[in-house]
Amino acid sequence: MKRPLTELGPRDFEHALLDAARSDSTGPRPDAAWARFSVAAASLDRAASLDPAESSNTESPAGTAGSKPTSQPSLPSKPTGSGGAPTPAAAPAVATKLLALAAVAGLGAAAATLALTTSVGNSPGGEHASNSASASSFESTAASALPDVVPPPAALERPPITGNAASETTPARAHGESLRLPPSTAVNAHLSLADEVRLMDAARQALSSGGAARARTLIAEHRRRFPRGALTTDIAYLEIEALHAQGRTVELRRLGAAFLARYPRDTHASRVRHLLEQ
Amino acid sequence: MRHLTQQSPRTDALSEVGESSKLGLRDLFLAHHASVWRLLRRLGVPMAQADDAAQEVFWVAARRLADISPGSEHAFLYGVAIRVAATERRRGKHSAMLYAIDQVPEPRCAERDPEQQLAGKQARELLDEVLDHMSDAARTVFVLYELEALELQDIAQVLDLPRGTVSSRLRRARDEFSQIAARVRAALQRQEGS
Repeated sequence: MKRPLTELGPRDFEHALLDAARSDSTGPRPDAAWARFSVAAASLDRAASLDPAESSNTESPAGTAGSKPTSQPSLPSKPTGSGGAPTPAAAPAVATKLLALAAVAGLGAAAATLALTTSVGNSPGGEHASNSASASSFESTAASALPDVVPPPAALERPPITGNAASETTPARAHGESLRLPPSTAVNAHLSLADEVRLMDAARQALSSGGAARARTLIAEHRRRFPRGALTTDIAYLEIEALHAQGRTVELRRLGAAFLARYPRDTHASRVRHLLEQ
Repeated sequence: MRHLTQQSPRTDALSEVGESSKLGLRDLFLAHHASVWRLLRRLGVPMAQADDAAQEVFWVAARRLADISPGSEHAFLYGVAIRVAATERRRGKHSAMLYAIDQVPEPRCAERDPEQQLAGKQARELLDEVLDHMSDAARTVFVLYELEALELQDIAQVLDLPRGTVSSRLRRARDEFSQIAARVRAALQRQEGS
């Protein structure tokens, strides 16, 4: 039993305060926060797809008609648990804001989404996705290649401290606050992330409804389009689950071992280990 | 001690699992969200805004993922978090005036809690009380050094300041911290006594 703070001398009092902060474990669970983040990314995509210019072509990303509306709401319920994070409130606020962003960024963003959606739907066999994207339009290249592209020479070794935090950030804010508009490249990056989430979600959906082969096609598609995507780990894990579902033990072992070697402390690692031990 | 220049263990990529030698966004998020959230709180982002502010940090990271070189994830996220926290503080100042150092109010968490598990909470609230009365520049250096255990040169890198500046700022920050902590402690004892 520690002594009450009031009985501590000045130095011990200071140390007690600092120690309490060092052992601070409050805050939302990271997986719940990640779920919220993913939902916000998907909301962005949804907001952009509300654009009338695109509405005639709302083909679902993977060509699985109807899977998009159901698969996206399934995201928040996945790992949320308790966590205490104000998850549901975030999505609409972000959606509203991003709708405005898409409107301001105008045809650029809408065209990018359109081109991306179409390019997934068509899925030219064997063709490298970034090639097909760049063939369809300049805007889509900007959007799909952004996370993969070589950074500009002034790449961030040390982030700038002063100034433009306001223009840099696109938070999940409540309604009524002033809108801070990032440059349109930022919108494209968001769209690209949203597209990744959507494609992965379609693969997950396919797998959970018994379509392991379909899931693997989508996974391959994801890998072609986002070779350095943000969700590489999730996709690798999903592929292992799909192989397990198909009973392809040889490939399962190979990919499973590779996964564990590369992501030994990933949240999926214990599940992968379990699959390998079977 | 954490070192910002540490190499990521994942650079030896196996091609079966993807081509990237960089951390995926999800990995980055799960690995650093808790420390980013905590840092934002200690830098003065109120509890009610901390979740959103942390998301904001990772929105920036999502867009700049290609720019983050392996091993510098921590430095990058800290840099963004500091800017986000500064924005949040500016926002907060419109509604609530900051107190001058010699006008430290009574501690918010006045009631003494018999439960041991609440002692940490009380101590953290008192700490935030103290930090809230430090100047922003001093607070940032102090938090990075004392709570995040960064070395001076790492702080200099994150803040883009000369090391000497960081060093003198830290000395001032410690003085400030001690002065304010003494006042908060005295206020707490007065409360206990009455």
